[in-house]
Amino acid sequence: MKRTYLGEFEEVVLLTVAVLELEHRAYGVAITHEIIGETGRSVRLNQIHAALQRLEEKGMVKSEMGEPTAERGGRRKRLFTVTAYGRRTMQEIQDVRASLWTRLISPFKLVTSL
Amino acid sequence: MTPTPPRFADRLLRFFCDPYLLEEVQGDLHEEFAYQVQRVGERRARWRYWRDVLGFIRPLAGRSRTGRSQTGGSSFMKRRQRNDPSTFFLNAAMIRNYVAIALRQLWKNQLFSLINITGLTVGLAVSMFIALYVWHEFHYDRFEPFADRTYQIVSVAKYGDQEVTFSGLHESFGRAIQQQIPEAEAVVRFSAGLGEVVLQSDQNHRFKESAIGFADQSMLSVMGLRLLHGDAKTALSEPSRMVLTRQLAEKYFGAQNPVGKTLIFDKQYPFTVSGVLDDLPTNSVIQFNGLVSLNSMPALGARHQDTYQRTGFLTTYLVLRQGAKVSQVEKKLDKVKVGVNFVDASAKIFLEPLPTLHLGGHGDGARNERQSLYILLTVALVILVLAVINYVSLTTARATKRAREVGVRKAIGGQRSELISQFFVESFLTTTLAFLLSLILLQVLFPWANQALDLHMDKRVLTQGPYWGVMIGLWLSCSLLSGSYPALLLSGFRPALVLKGNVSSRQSGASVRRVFTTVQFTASIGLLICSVVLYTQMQFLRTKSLGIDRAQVVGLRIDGDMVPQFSGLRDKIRQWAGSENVAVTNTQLFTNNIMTYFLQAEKTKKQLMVNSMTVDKPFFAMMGIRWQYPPMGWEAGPVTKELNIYNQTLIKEAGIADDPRQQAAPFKNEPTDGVVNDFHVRSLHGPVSPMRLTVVSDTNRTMLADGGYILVRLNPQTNVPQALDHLKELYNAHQPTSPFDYYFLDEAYNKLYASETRLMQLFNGFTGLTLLVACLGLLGLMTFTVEVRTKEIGVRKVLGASVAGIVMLLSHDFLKLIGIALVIASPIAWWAMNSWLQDFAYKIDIEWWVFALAGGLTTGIALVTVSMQSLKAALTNPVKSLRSE
Repeated sequence: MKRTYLGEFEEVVLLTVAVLELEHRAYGVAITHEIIGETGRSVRLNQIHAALQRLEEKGMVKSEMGEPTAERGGRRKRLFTVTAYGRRTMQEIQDVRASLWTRLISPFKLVTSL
Repeated sequence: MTPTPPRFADRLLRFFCDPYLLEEVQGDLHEEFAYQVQRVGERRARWRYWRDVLGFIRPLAGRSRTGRSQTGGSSFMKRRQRNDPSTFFLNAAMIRNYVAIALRQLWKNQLFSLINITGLTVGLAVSMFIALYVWHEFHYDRFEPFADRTYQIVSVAKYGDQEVTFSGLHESFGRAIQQQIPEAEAVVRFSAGLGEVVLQSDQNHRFKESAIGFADQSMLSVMGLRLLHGDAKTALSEPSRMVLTRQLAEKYFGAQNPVGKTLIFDKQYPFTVSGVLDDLPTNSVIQFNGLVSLNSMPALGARHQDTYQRTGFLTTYLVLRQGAKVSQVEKKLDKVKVGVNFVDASAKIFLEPLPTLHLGGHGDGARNERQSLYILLTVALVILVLAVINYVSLTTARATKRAREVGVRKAIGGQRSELISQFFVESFLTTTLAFLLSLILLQVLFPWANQALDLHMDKRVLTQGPYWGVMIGLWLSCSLLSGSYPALLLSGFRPALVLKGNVSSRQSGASVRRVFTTVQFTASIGLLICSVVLYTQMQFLRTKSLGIDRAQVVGLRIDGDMVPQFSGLRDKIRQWAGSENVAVTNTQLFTNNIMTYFLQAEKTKKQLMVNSMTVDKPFFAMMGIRWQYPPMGWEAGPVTKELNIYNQTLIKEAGIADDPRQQAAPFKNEPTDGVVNDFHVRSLHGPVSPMRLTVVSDTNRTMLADGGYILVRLNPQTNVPQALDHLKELYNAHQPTSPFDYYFLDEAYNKLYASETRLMQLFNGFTGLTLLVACLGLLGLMTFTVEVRTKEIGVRKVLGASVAGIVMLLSHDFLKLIGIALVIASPIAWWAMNSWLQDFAYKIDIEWWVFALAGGLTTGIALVTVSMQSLKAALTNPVKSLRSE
């Protein structure tokens, strides 16, 4: 499999960016809240920022500065969008998983038997 | 109002965060904060904010948790390349490693560690003590509430070409200022008292006290004096009120509160104690033991009344209003004096800022004081530098031993910066150890040193902020200084070379070490020369013939109101000691309390400053004063009328030649009855002043009006304590009005050189310390040299070298350095001591043997130090040294 390695946490962040990007809300705080809401794990802002930086270095996301808002003390937010390369990577991960899943005969049984 | 995130956390973030990222990161943090305030309330939101900010700067803390989550990198930090693969060099694991290695090194080389730490401890303790002392001296009188606007009024008058400064002003002057000068916010008049006075609370508590001063009510508030008991507003406002220092209050009244109690002043004037003062700060020019309200002074008998009405005896302080110009006020003050009954109308008035009084001002001593402080500071610095040098030279000397470690560290990827920080950690560890030890040393030795050196420093200084500031400053600078050279040198080794074993001890900074040793011995020899010169000068002063014989003479104080008992007491003492051994004078010799007049010479019209004293006839013979022209009929019988005797200097200054007894009087109506050879009654800092002696008959009483002294010469074989007991008995048998009080002339004379003696003691101490530190360094270096050259020595011995030859081989390097040090130190020390000697009118010449002595002594000590190791090396069986490996 020929692609840049993507950690599990990075993958989650990348997915969240892809989701929130539709509402133009893909920036630090919103991503953090979204991940907390969806996964229930305690994520902190600096972790998200670090992950986003790494994703950007790997070329999976790109970013631009958005509009300033009052609650941010007039500071602009950095809005992220997933690049084509990022989408392809997500797709590949999805495909790999799907193909592995399909090879299981009864996935639910497997879970309960654990 | 909407809650805002913690300001300090924000600032912290701004400091650490890459400015490029700051906007979005801070924006996100603020948004999150606003959200959390809604959710969990402001307080917890603030907590979270802090935690988040710390999260962003987390990589600095170097916690190993970074590895677990995927958020490792430190990409928010400033000053950092984004793609740098190595970890931050001050990383917890590495620091732990550095400390471990440093401790192992300390433990493994115990001798070196001991030398290093001892040297540093001594150096630090001494320099801290001196720094403290100098700081104390330079911070006089800063604590008063208006210190920046408080001035002392002094008047400067010209007598001939002599400028004389008076700090005493007439009582009316201060009052006039208050009325006539609008810029004056407050005026304080203060006098430290007219000599000693007897205080009494009851029969068992009756003592002679010095420095019972007089002051205005304003004194307490202007000078920031804090009362423990009593009301500061009224403590000195009325006559017959008195304020005591805590010490004095405890002496008379024990632990009970003395306010409202009665204390009898000068045997007959009852005073009410109106307040007790906390211990006075030691860094103030204003010192006294008790204060009497100034307005009670006229009622305290003839002497006080006279002083009050007719003399300038009050030090007057002025608090200017904010924004007032000093020069303008000075001009106005010059006009004020015209309307006032003042001593000298030609004098000009100056204002001296209160904080500068101790070291500055118009006094002659000011320059000296400052100079000796700077000398002290220099010496302290030298000692510290020597100790640091020791550390540096020993560490670099051991570099060969560490070279392999450096090589290995570099070979497995250690950066130079990491090695530098490693060596800094080591030096920090050593200096911190030394620092802690020296702190303990200082705390233990402070009271002792304070007393031994007569420094009057407050123990309270040890608890003040500046003290700790000085300490921490010294500690940090010391660590940095001692660490930097080894760190830079050792970290620069090339791994390929050191691992092959190509670094020899000679390469690693041997020339620098040579320079260091030279510097250390230069300092030691220089100080030694200074000590020797100081000592010889002091010996010279102590033994110089003064023209007056001060040996074994005791002076008994006779109070002015003991005139009726005086003749009886004197005759009793004459009977006991022999009449040729008893004399009477009105003056305490070898102090600064010698009456001085300004008289105009008739012939030369010159203003002369004339010391004046009254004596009886036996004084001359007993004190060994020689006559140039004795009065007519001197030997024939007792003195019947008052005689005017002058000294040679006065006659010369007055322009009189030949036999002055035949010529016109030097001053109006004061014809010359006789002339004596010059003799000293003050310190030898200055030449003999013109002097007038009034000789009075045995029955004359006027000379004792202000009290006087019976001088008794004790037999050289006398048991002094017994003789004193006997004198005391005689004295007490004559219904004395005040306690028995005496002084020894030679002690008083030696006291005139108190500051010089102190300087000498300090220098002796310093010389010892620098020598100690230098020798420690030498010992370390020698041990190391021997260690490195073990094999060489073994080979030499096998080939037939003698023990003496090997000792010579090992020592001659160091001896050469000491020779160079002597050459450098001598001219510097000569120059310094020569300028110090300029302050004396009578001084020694610095001769060549001083330098020879210093050089010889140092060489001797160094040789002893070195020979311990070199002898050991030379005597070792070569089989032992050659077998290893």
